[in-house]
Amino acid sequence: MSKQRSRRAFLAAGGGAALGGCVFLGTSPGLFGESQRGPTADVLAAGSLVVVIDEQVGPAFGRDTGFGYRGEFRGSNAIMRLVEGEHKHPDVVVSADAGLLREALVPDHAAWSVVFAANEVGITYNPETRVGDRLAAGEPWYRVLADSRVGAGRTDPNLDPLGYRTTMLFDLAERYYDQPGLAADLRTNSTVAARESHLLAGVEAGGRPAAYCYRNMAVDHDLPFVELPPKLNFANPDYTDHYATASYTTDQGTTITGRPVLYAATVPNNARNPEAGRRFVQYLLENPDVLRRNGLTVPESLPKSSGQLPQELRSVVEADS
Amino acid sequence: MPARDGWLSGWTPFVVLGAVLFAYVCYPFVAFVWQLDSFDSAVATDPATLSAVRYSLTTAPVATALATVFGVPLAYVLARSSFRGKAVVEALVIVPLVLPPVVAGLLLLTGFGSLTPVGSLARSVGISLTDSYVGIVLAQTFVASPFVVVTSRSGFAGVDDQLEEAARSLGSDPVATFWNVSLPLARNSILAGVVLTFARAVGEFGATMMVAYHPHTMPVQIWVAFGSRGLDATVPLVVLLALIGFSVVFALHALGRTPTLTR
Repeated sequence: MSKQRSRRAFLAAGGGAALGGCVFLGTSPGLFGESQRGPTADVLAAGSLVVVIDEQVGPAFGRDTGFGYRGEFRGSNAIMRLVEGEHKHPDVVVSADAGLLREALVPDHAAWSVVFAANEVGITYNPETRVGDRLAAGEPWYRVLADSRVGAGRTDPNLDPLGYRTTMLFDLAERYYDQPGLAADLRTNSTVAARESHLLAGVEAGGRPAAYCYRNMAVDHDLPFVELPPKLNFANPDYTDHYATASYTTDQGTTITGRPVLYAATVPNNARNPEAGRRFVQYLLENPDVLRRNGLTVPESLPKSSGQLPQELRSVVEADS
Repeated sequence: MPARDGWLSGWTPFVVLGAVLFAYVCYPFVAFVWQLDSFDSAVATDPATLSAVRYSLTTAPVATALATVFGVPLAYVLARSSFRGKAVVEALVIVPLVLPPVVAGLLLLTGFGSLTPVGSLARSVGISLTDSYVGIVLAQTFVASPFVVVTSRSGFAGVDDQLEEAARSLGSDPVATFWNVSLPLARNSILAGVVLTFARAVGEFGATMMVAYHPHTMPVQIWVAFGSRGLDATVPLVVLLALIGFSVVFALHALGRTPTLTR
């Protein structure tokens, strides 16, 4: 019995020491070369911006301003629910849908919002396929992709904005090119991918010759991008009314009308480091070239604010417009 | 296993049925390796990867210890006593297994978020319960603890209670009886539960990414790397998690061979 007791004491001491070591290694800062820095801007941003913000804007912001940066990426709908429900208290919220951010957060959770970039809907393709050859040669995209053998990819219109914008694009294209029946052909001759992330993986691997996607997705994956006329690409805020002539009714019966792909940012009222948050938004507004390099578009009409903008941001927005 | 001559004769149904599941589980791994373009060794030494390994390996053991220290006594109570509302307690213990981890994460945020009473109390003493080391441990403990409770409970149920009565009739108090009789006899089940709890904690993703997206653990880092750089960037972490999985199996195997009085 005493032998067992001493063995247990030994095990307990060893286990306790190991756990203590775990807590120490896990909680002490500065290990593994991390340094403590100034107040950190916690950025909660749309998933489609993970490359541009997490790998470009964020680190550059840290270098240039002395503030820390920490990014978290989710679907825009989930972001709004998390902030509305007070589950998360980020210093900056970035949404891939400017209207959604305004409706969900202003004025209860944020006093203002600013639209800082746009994205365009278009077509990406695998250059090593026949379809890729035809698109690269300049054959009109709607003729190539209305072909029943192509099977271009798109996302589910019931699940994400890219999906319903793609079906709206079909409707707009039918009128724009004056080709009766085109929308139905494009719809039936394309296949629905499970998720945005899988859409371009299929094109890269060659299993899918082409896909409807946002421009920055093609840039992120180093794939070619076929630009569409501004009246079809959902990127120009001046055509807001024109985009609104297309609509999509989801399986649940909600009707969504077309609107431009505009990215908006705000600093919520209960941000923990609002100063760092405002500085981050200012940095976004001051560096449109980083955004452009990563496939976003920043037309002349942006940035555009709504609500009572904080002083330090007002000067940036006004200087631009 | 019978001898070499015609070993298939009596075993065929088992082998065939088992092979189906085995092939089903193996196939995705083969497909995963098949789809990889290249192994980028730079990813393995990337600071983000190393940091994720650090946080996973320093949180999961602590979560496992917490679940064990509080879960084994609970299992003993559930196995040995009956009281009003016992069924409710048992059901609540199992609930984290049934809940999608994302929901578990939302529940934890509702209870421990930084503006909740508990969260602000912790903040006032300098401890952040979300997006922190503590947040990871909270999420892992919540989701993984049922494993050690359930397996320990069935271990205690398998201990002949006449042995405990004998110990008590010889003057041993309940704590000493638990410590010297019940615990050693249920040891294998408890350890199996500990191993399963650790495995669940180290692989926990859904609740962790709600409660503590930062600092990234290995599962969260895999998700982030896949989202930004694709499948190839996840390989080192997937390999490491798979190795941890194998270690868990070997640990279980070693435990299974240790003879105890429960059999």
